[in-house]
Amino acid sequence: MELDPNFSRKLISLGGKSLKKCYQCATCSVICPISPDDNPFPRKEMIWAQWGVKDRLLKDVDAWLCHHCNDCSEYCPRGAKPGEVLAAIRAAQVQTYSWPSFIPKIMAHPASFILFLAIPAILIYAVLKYAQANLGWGYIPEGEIVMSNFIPHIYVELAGFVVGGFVGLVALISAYRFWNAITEGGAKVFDIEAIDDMEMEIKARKSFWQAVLSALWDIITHNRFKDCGTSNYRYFAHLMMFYGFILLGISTLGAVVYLQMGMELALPPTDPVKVIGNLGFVALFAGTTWVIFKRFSDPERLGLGSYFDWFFVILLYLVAISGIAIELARLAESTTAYYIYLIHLIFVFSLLTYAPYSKFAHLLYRAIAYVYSESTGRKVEK
Amino acid sequence: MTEEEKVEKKLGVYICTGCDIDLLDIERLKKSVQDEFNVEAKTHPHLCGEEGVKIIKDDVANGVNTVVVAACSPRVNTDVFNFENCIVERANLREGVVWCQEINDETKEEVQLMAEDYVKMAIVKAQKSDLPEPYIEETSKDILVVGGGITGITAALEIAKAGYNAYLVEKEEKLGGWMAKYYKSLPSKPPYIEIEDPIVFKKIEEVENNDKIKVYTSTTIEEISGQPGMFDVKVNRNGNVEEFRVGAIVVATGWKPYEAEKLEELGYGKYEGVITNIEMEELAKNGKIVVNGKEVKSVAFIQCAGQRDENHLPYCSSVCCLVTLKQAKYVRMLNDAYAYIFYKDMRTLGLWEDFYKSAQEDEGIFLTKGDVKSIYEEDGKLVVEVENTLLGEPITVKVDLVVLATGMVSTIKGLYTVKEEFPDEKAVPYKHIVDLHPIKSEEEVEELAKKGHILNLQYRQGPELPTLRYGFPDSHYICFPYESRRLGIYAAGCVRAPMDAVACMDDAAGAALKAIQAVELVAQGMTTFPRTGDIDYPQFFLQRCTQCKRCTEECPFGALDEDEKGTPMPNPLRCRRCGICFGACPERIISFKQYSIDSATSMIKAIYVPPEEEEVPRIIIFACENDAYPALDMVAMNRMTYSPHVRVIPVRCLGSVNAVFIADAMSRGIDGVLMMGCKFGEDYQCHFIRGSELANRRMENIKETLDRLMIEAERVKIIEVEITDFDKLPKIINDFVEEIKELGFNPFKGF
Repeated sequence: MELDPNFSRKLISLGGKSLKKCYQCATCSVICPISPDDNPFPRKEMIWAQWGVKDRLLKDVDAWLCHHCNDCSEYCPRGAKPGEVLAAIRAAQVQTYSWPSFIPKIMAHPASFILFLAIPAILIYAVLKYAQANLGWGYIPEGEIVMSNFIPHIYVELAGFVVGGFVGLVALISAYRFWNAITEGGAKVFDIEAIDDMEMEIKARKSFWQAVLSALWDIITHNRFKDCGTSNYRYFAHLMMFYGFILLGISTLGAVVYLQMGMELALPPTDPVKVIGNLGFVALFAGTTWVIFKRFSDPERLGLGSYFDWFFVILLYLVAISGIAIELARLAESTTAYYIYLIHLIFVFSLLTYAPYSKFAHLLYRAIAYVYSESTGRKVEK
Repeated sequence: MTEEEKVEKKLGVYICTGCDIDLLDIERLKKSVQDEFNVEAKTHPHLCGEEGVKIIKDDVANGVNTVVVAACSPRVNTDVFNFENCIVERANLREGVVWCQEINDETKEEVQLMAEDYVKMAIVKAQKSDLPEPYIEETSKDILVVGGGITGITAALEIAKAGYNAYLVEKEEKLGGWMAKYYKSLPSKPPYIEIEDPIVFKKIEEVENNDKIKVYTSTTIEEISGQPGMFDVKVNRNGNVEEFRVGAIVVATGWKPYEAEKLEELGYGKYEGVITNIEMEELAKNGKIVVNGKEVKSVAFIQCAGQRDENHLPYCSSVCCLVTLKQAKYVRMLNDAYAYIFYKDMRTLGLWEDFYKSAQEDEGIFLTKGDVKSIYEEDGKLVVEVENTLLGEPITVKVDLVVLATGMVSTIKGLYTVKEEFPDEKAVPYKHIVDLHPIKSEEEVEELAKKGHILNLQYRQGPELPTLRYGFPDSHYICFPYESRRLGIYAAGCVRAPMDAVACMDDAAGAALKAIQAVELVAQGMTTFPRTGDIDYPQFFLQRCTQCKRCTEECPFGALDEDEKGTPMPNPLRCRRCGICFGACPERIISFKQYSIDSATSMIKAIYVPPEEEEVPRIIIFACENDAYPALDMVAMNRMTYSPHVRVIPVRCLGSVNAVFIADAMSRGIDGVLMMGCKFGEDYQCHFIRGSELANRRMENIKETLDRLMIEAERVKIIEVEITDFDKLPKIINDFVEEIKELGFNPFKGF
């Protein structure tokens, strides 16, 4: 077992500030409603984090079974906040398995936030300048507010494909690396010898596809999230954000369909696609606002969150706000809608492009962890 | 005082009728006193009140000098019923009768007889008692402190601050002890986080500037003789013998480290990089921790090295965890290196938890529980393999230095202490002695004596403080940590239990106060705990002594020396007045003024034994005053009830019950005797250490006597009672009464 004291420091910088305080009483593992009986988390992760057992921590799928409900941190007699330590471990895994590795390294520094927003801004500026000079669009149009008069949708779609392709590639690489790491050593989650003569129970495993279906069901229903005690609001808030995001996705798909049908997209609020989109906004905005409000109202108990965490939350919030602002400006027939549209594009670009490096990637890692835990029996069955 | 000089006793009997005592037939009670003793008992409904006490005081003013108060338990209102120059006896009618008896038509008669018996017993006891006179000698109030470490220094300073003179004896050249050898010490003040320069140097300066403290360095004790208040100390200072007299002694000789040479399995002596925590202090004193000329970059600390281990020290030294955390801080401070700590359990008691937390939060200190599997050298590094770690799997660390947390051993351990710990092979050892060292020959004792000594007490029972478990001279007095089993000698600091320096200083202050209390009390002829203030002491009618040596051997406090012939030579100021000697004496030549064979047997004889045709048994309970008797009072206070056929006689200790008490009871026709004493053995609760054990041993002889008298041995029974067992007592008593009823009546009844 390799010990790397620097990895311990890294976890501290990623938000596990109190990890040294743990004295291994295992209250956390006992209180956790979703920790399995064999090798329960987060006790073992706490001492691995203290000793900097990098290889174990990076292969630790259990970190993803945690939903950061903070029951452990609430009951921890030493204030070691295991919930935050597990979040830091997840962040470390996202940074480790994404590609290329220099991006997460730069992203780890809060000061780089500006840089990461500047990249899409410069790109869009360059594209606009080029279009104005050569393609004849990109000027603020007069009259009725119609976005495609400013930038034809085909170019936005094109950009979407490029970003989507890149994100998909990185996600695949990350998923492959992560899957390899956690399955190393075969079927068992841990290749650790059991302490003393404690026997390991071997549970019947589901087939891969059964596991996928089961995991999907858990994701759709937020089944596992539901058991959270201390931060049970997060179950509802996350559910709202999750379905808000899905509704917005459906509405985007609808827009693409309309485009294929040759329809104009300056839709009235009564259009079904717009209704879905607006509902999505309301859910996403309310959920995100709730999360942010809660964090600030009781940071001691619920955790203020690390920079890694905020990077995602802020972008998501900005996307939602700028999106609705466009619609409002458009309905008010103000040309500021075009400027807001540009800003919105920057945020959307950032949210999606950086997804594999930010907390957004949790949907990938957690889904994989769900599948894996289903197939290895590390899911706590009720 | 000769018989002629004895003041004639004038008896006054006072019956309180309050607190339900009037449920009894008071007139009949008065009449029984009148008939038997020709005294008219006075009654008052509130005897402990001003008016009630005035009745007694007026009588005392008119010549009454023997007062019997028939009211509440003798354990309460002792300050109220206290009359100068008067013998005061109490008959326990409240807790002893009305509160613990069910009074109805059926039981009324027996309960009344019970009350009458208690009043009669109190009267005969008062008649058989004399006013005690204290043993007054010219005593010294100076105090000797043995050992010049942090404990001894603090004790001497505390003694001086309280206005007494202290002699501080240290065998080494300089004061300071272990603490003066440390690089830094544990924090001595809140918030108990920052390590600090050893506080002992400041204290040494204080000692040197205090003219009430006389310091003897390079000095050993040749011998100490005498008794509290009159200890004659002979010291040897660099070859010059000096003598002085002190009143009490504080033993603060501290500890010695466990021999690391025995820890070869941990690589000590094998690898240069494996050292003890003591040696680590020396390394740290250089300002940088350097081994083999190389600056140390990583250190592994192994806790409980040779501790909590049956092959080495079976106990926890309680401070090594703290010492290691302190030294881990050295490693971080001096070398900016990593410290790995492997423990069995991290033990940081009380506020030391904060110190643990402060070390734990250091990013360069790594802690886990674990068992060290092996230590070996590889590529110039020491490899430590640890199993059963909290990390869930064995781990291996490569370090430059391994520090073993070895434990503390009392300086008394290994010395020849008292005979009972080194008994003859044939002797039956006492059950409270855990570390027994049977002795085969006289030469062996001489060999042992050569190992050195600390106090070299000229006591018949042995030269040092008796020890309990693991060689610590602990008292086992639950509430009195500094007490030893030698009156006037108090142990403090690591000599009596492993502890940190802060605790040592507290201990020193406590022991110093106990020593001061002792010199003040013995100056007035009084004893100390647990009969603090008692002036009555045992008197020996030596003309009839047969030199059987039972008293000199059985005294738990070594109070009795003996001459060549084996005649006891009492040292009253060493005595704790338990009466174990008079319980032992087959010739019945030992007595106190207020507690004697005569008074006890007279009490037994005062009990009315109903003739067989009345079909009620009589049973005597000898109840130890320390636990059993208060427990019986608690039974009454909780209004639990027990059989009215029993008569309780309080005794100072079950060890003071002489076989003759039982023989007398049996020959009087008493049907059974129940003896309630404290728990004995390894975890004894006897306030006089072995009183209840001795009572059990003597039972063998008693059974023989009973056999001779053709009486069933089952009629006499000893039970162990803790004060918390009070709720079980009614059942125990009633069951015994039933057992006796089944046996039938004592065949001697009516003779």
